[in-house]
Amino acid sequence: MITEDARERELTRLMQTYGDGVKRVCCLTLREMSAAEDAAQETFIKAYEHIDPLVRGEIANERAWLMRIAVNACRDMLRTSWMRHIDRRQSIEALPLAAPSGHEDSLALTQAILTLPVKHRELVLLHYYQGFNLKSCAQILGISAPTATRRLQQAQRKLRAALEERG
Amino acid sequence: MKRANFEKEDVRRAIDESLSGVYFNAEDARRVLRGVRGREPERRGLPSPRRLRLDLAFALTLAVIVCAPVALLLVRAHSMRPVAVAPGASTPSPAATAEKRVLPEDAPSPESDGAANEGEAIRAALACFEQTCDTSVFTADEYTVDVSRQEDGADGAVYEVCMRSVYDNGCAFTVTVSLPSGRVLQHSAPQLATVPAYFDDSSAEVRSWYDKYGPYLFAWEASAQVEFSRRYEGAAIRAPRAGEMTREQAAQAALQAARKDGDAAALLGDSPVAYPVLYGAQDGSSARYVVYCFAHAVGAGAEGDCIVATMPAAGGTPSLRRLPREEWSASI
Repeated sequence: MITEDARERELTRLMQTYGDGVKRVCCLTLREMSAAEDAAQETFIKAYEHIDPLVRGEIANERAWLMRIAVNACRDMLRTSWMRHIDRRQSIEALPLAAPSGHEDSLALTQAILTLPVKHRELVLLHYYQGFNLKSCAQILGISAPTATRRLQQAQRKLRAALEERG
Repeated sequence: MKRANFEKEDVRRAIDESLSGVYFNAEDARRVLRGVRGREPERRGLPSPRRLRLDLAFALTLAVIVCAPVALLLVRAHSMRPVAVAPGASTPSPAATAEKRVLPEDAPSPESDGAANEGEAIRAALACFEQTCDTSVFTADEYTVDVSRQEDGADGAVYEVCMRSVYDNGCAFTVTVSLPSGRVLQHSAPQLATVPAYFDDSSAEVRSWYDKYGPYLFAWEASAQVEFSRRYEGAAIRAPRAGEMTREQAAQAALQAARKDGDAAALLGDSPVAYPVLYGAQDGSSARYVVYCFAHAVGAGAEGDCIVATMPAAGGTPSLRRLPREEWSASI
């Protein structure tokens, strides 16, 4: 019997361990801070609703499991925006990107990632930022491995072009 | 880090540095905990107020969906007829899921005095689409149109006209039309109408393409590649234009280059088969052919490694590289 305390302890551990990464993925996927906050919080709420297998140790890769929830939360958010007929996306410049001196390359790379279409951005974030292999990325995104690989190649081309354009 | 190259570590560091001010803070955690405590009745199988609200909303939505069209048909049947309003309306609708667009006749709005009716609102939205969006990507015929009336917006009474792509690719264009004047008050960003927002492999539309043409996009017939890309990929793949090599020429150039390359020639054998794909100029890169060369036609299930030749669409020396089976089969 799993108690509510045990569930909340597990949830708290998940938030402490993956909270920042989840929120940053949401932020870069949605390109809008308040939506990203909502999506990140919704991710952990959804995780809690299905946390029992995790508490019982039945989920092998909790990070991939959580990231799939986050991806779906972002997609729901995007679809909700569409359904409300409101374009909530902000310009890239409006995002709260820190610009520490000496990190121009980092900023340029992040900005370039933000210019990618959502489907490419999701994959780049999972593969390059979260470090998942392509098979895991495909599972998280709910697409086939061939599609994931093809999409990643397209994303790489676009990212290189964007970086070259930025000089 | 070189600017045009990036590794996982570069991306990780770049994002962590750039978004150092974005972290899951205590307020986020508090909200999550409040959220899960609010949902605990659901976990125990008890209906929560939220769940009941959702059920009620679902029932009402279903009632509206089922009843509204019937009521509309009954009320307006005598005054409705099809009207061709968009350029290209004479061209056949996409085979996909295009809905028949039927506009109300130009009867004056019953309650006014010159106020716009739904048909005028839709016409205004279509004109706005024609003026602001890139119609070389999708034409107005490739969208379904929904119109709803809103009484208490910031702009007063308005019609919200939403055009959604029939291809299930997330493209949509929303126009707000003033009810009193019939003028367009605002519209969504034009690129949202023409740049596919997502690619859903589970979509029945998308699956039907793979079911029809097979699992490898490069082996599809040229027109299918181009049309699929137009609908779902922002037209990354296109047909050759004047001054560019034809697909056959690209295939020949790739095979010729492969014959001169010892390793490639050894891999491809005596009867190689080439599958060209033309990627248009995007994001600053010029148009180029990517030609997948195999020792035998794909589809038999015994394909091995392939040679990929890349060359400018206008012609040039192909660059060759060998792609292991797991990579090319995963790259399509």
